[in-house]
Amino acid sequence: MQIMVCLKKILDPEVPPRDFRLKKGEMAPATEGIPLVMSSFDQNALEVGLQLREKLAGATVTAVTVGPEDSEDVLRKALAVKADRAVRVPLEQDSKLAGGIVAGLLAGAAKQLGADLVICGRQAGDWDGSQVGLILTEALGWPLVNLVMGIEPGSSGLVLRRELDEGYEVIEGNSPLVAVVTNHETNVLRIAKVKDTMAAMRKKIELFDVVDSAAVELQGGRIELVSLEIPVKEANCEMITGENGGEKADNLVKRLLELKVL
Amino acid sequence: MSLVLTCLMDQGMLSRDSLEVIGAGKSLASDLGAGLAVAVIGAETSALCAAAGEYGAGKIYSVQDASLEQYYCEGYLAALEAVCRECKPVAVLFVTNMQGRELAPRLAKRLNKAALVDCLSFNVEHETGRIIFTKPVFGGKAMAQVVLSDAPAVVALRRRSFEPAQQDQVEPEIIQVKPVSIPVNPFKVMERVEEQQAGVRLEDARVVVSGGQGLGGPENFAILEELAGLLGGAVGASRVAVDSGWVSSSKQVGQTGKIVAPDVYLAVGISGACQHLAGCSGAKVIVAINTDPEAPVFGAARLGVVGDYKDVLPPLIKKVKEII
Ligand SMILES: Cc1cc2nc3c(=O)[nH]c(=O)nc-3n(C[C@H](O)[C@H](O)[C@H](O)COP(=O)(O)OP(=O)(O)OC[C@H]3O[C@@H](n4cnc5c(N)ncnc54)[C@H](O)[C@@H]3O)c2cc1C
Repeated sequence: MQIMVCLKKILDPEVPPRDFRLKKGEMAPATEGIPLVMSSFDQNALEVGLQLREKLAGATVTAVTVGPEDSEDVLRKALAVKADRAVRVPLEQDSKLAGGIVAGLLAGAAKQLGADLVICGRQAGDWDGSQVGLILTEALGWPLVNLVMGIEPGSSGLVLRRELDEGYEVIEGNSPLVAVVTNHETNVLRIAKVKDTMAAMRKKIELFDVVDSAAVELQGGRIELVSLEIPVKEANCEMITGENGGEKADNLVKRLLELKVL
Repeated sequence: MSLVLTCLMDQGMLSRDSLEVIGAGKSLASDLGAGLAVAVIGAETSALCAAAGEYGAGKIYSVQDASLEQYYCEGYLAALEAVCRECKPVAVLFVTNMQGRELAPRLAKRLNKAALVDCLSFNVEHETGRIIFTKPVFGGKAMAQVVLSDAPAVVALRRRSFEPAQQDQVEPEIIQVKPVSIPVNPFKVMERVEEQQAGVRLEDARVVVSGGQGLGGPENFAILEELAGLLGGAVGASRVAVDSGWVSSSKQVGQTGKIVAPDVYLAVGISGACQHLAGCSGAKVIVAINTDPEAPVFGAARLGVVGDYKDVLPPLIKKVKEII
């Protein structure tokens, strides 16, 4: 089975609001001094792919990213945790909320690879678009399993565990399919060994040229960004004081009663 | 008359999600000078049609088929595609819940249009008549305003961001839509585990006590359970607590978890990442208990306690026992 995992390099989503700025005169975030990382749900997706490969003889995991050359870092990271292949589909501009362009390119890559299973994260931690895996499903014409926590080989096809609003379900189906992954305690990305990280630096990254599917995608509806702003939030936190935990607790209850919320 | 189509995912009774999407649909329709239409899907939709009529849905597009008794993405998608081709709406609204998240982008793609997920608000530009949608990006550190070119705009609205519709009885016109074909569910459900929640549902609770990484381990959630139990509330958690396996993922509060709007939200050992606060900013009073006075959570809290939860929660429980 050819497993393709889609990865995106993003501005670290854990940067606190006080360090988050916008580029002057542009509808884009300032990147100076902020680390760039693999989007967190993509890490979960990669882990799901790697675990499935371990249980399926002959399966391979190919990490694919769409972006400029410097986005290859996330592919190196995937190679360091032992992805078999790494592919970059060049795209110079930041697609921002226009997930359809990226989905079109990824669909092209999936076809070129002959992938049977495409795994994506549920949303990128930068623009939070939450659409690429779903549009990709349509572009490929495959069935979708959304909010997947883990995938195992079944007696005939694949067994997927997916999150529901209250609880979870286990479903079985056949590839090809698209799995869109959410976070779960079982899919936190493993840590690469130092020697594998070193080895990953020397591995080959393949370049795929899939211009056509992007052109097709661009004919669809457009999403036009008209403004990007940092919301102003006023802090009005009243600090509850006290000599010790007991006093603080008493004062807290007193205030909650005064505010009539208890 | 142009129509705003709101998509309901219920069977029989209208959920809070449906009331919110109908409420939002009504307000968008009135801003646009359009009519409100509702799509209902199921094996038997008459109860739902009647319920939607009570909330002012003048035009109801119903897709009835035995195979649609339970929700599955491929089937409901085919049904909604057929409704859109019949109704030709200017906008299609969903809620960003399990179904809306997956249906909105896929439906838009089928209609060759664009979608937006997790929309917080909208307004209609007076001069141009364009609908401007606002969506949080970068985990809520920025707000994006977008326009979706070409009608219909397909949009999933963030839960608890729109007022639920008020009752407003109308005699609806019901249009039965027959999709050309409804694909069978490609997946077989082998097991479905509905989590039993002791006490109130997290999303309905008036008090939510949430724990994060600062709790240090699963055993420490017991004290949160005790406090929540005393106050008739529910326990929530941050993503780190979920990823650590301390609590089940259905307890995660935030942008990619539950959206709650209790009277009191107690954040214990939670730093207050924007992605977490997105799930509790509708609370009347946020209380933060954290050892780090610089933690961002204090920027969003109404009341703050700097301290170790181990020193604050036991006396807090004692005090609460005294007053109830
Ligand atoms: C796309 C995306 C979506 C996300 N969605 C969500 C979401 O839905 N929900 C969510 O929660 N997160 C979400 N996150 C993750 C989020 O960015 C944060 O990583 C997460 O919320 C941090 O969890 P935390 O506050 O428990 O941990 P930390 O940030 O590690 O904070 C722990 C806090 O505990 C305090 N502490 C330590 N010891 C004690 C003690 N003894 N007593 C009191 N306080 C103590 C510390 O001072 C610290 O402030 C998302 C991230 C991304 C990128």
